Amino acid sequence: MQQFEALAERLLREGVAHRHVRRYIAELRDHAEDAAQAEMRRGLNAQDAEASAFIRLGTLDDLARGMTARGELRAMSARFPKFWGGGLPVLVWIGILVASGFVLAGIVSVLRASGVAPNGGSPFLATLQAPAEAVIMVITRALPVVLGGAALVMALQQRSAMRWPLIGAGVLAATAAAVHATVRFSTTPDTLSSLNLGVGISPETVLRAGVMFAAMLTPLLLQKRFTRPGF
Amino acid sequence: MPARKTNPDFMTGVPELLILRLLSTREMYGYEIVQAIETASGEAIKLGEGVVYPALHALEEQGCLKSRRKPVNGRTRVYYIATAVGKKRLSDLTGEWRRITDAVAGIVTGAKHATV
Repeated sequence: MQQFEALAERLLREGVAHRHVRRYIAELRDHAEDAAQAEMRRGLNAQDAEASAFIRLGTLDDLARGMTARGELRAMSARFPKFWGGGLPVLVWIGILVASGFVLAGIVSVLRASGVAPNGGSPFLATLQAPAEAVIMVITRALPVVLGGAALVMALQQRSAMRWPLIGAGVLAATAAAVHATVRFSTTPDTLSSLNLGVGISPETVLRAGVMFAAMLTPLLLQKRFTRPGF
Repeated sequence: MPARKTNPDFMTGVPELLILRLLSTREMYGYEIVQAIETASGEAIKLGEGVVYPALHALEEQGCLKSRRKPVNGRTRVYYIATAVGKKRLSDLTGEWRRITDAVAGIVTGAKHATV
């Protein structure tokens, strides 16, 4: 069985996508078991049957070559390491931030059109204030940590170099920490609700960026969990 | 015990053809596919497992196959079956294979105007 672990490590390090490696190894284990059972039906004892099944599977090189030769089985992080590790988490976060702004604006527009808040403001909108602030807090403070951490977990699973995911996490932490988003729903008629997005740097921002970056690095402390054979 | 002898590099493209042919009618798992190819070819074609599984994964990535996990006797097997895209690909590969084999046969038997 160590043969399969060695094969998995080799495939991951050579850039084959984690999901393909995991399934390939599971399929090979199953295959070896089926082959061993067939050998036993032919009269071999269990030990010889297992040995014969492994010989039938081929060498580590034979088993690795077919996977590494196929470009479509390569991980995105191996194909585009700079973009995947360094740029994508930041872009995804910005995309979600912008999309959430449109969603909030859309909610206000719908309420306005439906007559709940016909003149822009309404006491009803006060009920949305706390949930909207919570959503913004999650998007601006928690989501970046999740995205940066996820990029590091994927890099660990894929046995990729950590350089670009670490750069991406750092840029994401700095950007997210510098962003200040506020939402204010108007509760009085003839006044409009507002969503403000600002960027600023202060000692507090730097401290926040540091805390977020440190939180993103948590997967590195659990490295063994994410790099154990078969994970 | 010597390592099993499998077919050499000139078989490139053939595994996809054989796999798609088998999976165009019913779903099968990897071991079953290897056995079916050996049996159907009278053991003339022995595809290594290092060829079959990567081909299955690649064909699935290309949309030619779809897979599903199915519990069988306490184990979870991955079953594959050809999609409509896979059947179209099979048709193309079969045509290409016939063209090549006709051409090779023509050359081997001494026909004058064999084309590839």
